[in-house]
Amino acid sequence: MEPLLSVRDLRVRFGAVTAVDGVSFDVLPGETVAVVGESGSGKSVTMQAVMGLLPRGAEVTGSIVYDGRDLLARPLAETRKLCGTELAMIFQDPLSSLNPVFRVGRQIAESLVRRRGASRKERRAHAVELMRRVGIPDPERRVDEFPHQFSGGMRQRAMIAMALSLGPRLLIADEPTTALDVTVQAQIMRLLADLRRETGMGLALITHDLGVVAGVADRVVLMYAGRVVETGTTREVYDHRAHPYTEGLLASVPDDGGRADRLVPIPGQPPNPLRPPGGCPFHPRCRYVVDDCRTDAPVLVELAGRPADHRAACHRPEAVGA
Amino acid sequence: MLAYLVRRLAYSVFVLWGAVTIVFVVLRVVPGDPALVILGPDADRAQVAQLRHSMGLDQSLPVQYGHYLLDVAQLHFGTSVRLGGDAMGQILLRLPATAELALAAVVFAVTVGIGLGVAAAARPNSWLDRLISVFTLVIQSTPTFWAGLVLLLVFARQLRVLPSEGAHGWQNVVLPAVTLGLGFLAMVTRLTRSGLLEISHEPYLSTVRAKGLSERVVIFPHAMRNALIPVVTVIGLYLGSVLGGTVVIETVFSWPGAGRLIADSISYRDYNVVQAGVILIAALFVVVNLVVDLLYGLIDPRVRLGGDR
Repeated sequence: MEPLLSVRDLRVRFGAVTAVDGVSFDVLPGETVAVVGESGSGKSVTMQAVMGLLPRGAEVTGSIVYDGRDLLARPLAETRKLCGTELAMIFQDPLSSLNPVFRVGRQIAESLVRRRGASRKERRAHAVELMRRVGIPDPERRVDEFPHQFSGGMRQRAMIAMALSLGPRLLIADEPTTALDVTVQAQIMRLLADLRRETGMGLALITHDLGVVAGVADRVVLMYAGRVVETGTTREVYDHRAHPYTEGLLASVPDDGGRADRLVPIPGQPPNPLRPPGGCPFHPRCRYVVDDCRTDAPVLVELAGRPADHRAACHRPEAVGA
Repeated sequence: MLAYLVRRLAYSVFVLWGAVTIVFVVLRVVPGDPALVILGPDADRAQVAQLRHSMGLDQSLPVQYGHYLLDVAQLHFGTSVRLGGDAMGQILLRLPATAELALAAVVFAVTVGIGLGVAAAARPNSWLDRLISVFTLVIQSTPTFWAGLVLLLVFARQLRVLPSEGAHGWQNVVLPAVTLGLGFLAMVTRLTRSGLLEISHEPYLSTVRAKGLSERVVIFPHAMRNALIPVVTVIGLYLGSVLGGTVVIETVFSWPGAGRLIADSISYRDYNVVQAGVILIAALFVVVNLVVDLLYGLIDPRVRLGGDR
């Protein structure tokens, strides 16, 4: 199957800082791909590059091919035209992502009005229908309310409604549950999974929480210090983790067994982006470190005896999980 | 909402009483005797004394103040000793000209100010941004009457493109309105710029971009509506000084408005007209501020006044 989105060797630099360093991954039509990493791993910057949302002054190289079109080879205005209609995005904090001074319904229907020239009446009906679809109760009344009158979960539902407005084929969700209560997190994840199934759109889920990933993602892309360190189908990566960072992340996720196992944190801190360590960026925190790791940055390669789409960037993948 | 309005009205009465009292005290503290001004330097003592008596000026200040407060409370502002007729009537007669001038000044300041502010904020620290910031700084440090004289010299005397005085057509309002609005313009420019920059990194603007809408839509209406909140607040406060500024501007440009009448009445010691004028300006100021505060709730739904949520 042709990938819907294909990112190849993407590099994003802000002055002296390299935020994304040679990232490649694909999203197939209708597929859910989770991009997982700590803050500063470059996962959000990668998706901002896809949406053309990077601040001025960012240097971007590589290629971002959406549906056969290389977005980086075309003017930004062209990418913007795809945003909303083909690609849509929801963000981490639904309160600050909604304009506080406009009614929720107006914001949900804004794309329809400005890009399809919908009338006032159509606008309202459209917003109410979308709000109903994302499970906002009493949409006829709430369509006229302001964001501050919504709860956190309802705000994120409104954001999702807004993103669905023009029927995109790829939804990028940047930490959509991070700012929400735990009980609400599960509802939002279920809603996203249901909507993906109903619409057949692709879903790129950015998260730092591997626990969120397990139930929804077909494939995972793990990022560390601006690079992809491991990627593969979710099942495969969980069962046959091949990078010490993946192992560390999985050890720091509470077990679903509910047993009071001790959580094991990854020692140390993510690298300072101004002075990244030489060799493998993870080596200062790695328990399997050998001399090669300090000098040679490992590349993302297939693993002996594993499916071809399972790749890891590690000199000693066989040591992990052994 | 109703409770809020009642509270505001009570507060307004207090403000008006303050204005009424201050103008009363100031007029009586400054040297000069209205009776003497009216009768001229040749009048004899007996005549002056008689006129003072008929005007009530021979009574003690507290008694005069008491009579004055009672009159004002009944909306009696006395007669103009210079022009004859009702003092407030004289002011109201000239109020439309002043309103025209003030409105023109505000429209000029707000439209040009917002335009300059947007231009400056679009590229912070660019040469254009720096130029605008120097321009606003110079304007804010320039006394209004001096700016008015310079504009007169340049546009009316040297270039001869605009008339220097009178109030006959739209050309006449340009110079006085620009002069009156300059300080306000600088303030609106700076507030718009800083307001826009402050919110330029707000995630809700990214949301608009993620919808694929243009930068123009990002600024109008999404960023502007939020950046304007502080601007609207200041417009209310500043309108007071615009109204006060008309006194100077109308004199410089010979504009036949209430401001010039107040200025002239001060030199003639025409107490009643000055008092009526100041009270009217204070009342307008109070009303405008109330309107602005109500408007504020309209612009920012999070502060619906006395609201239920």
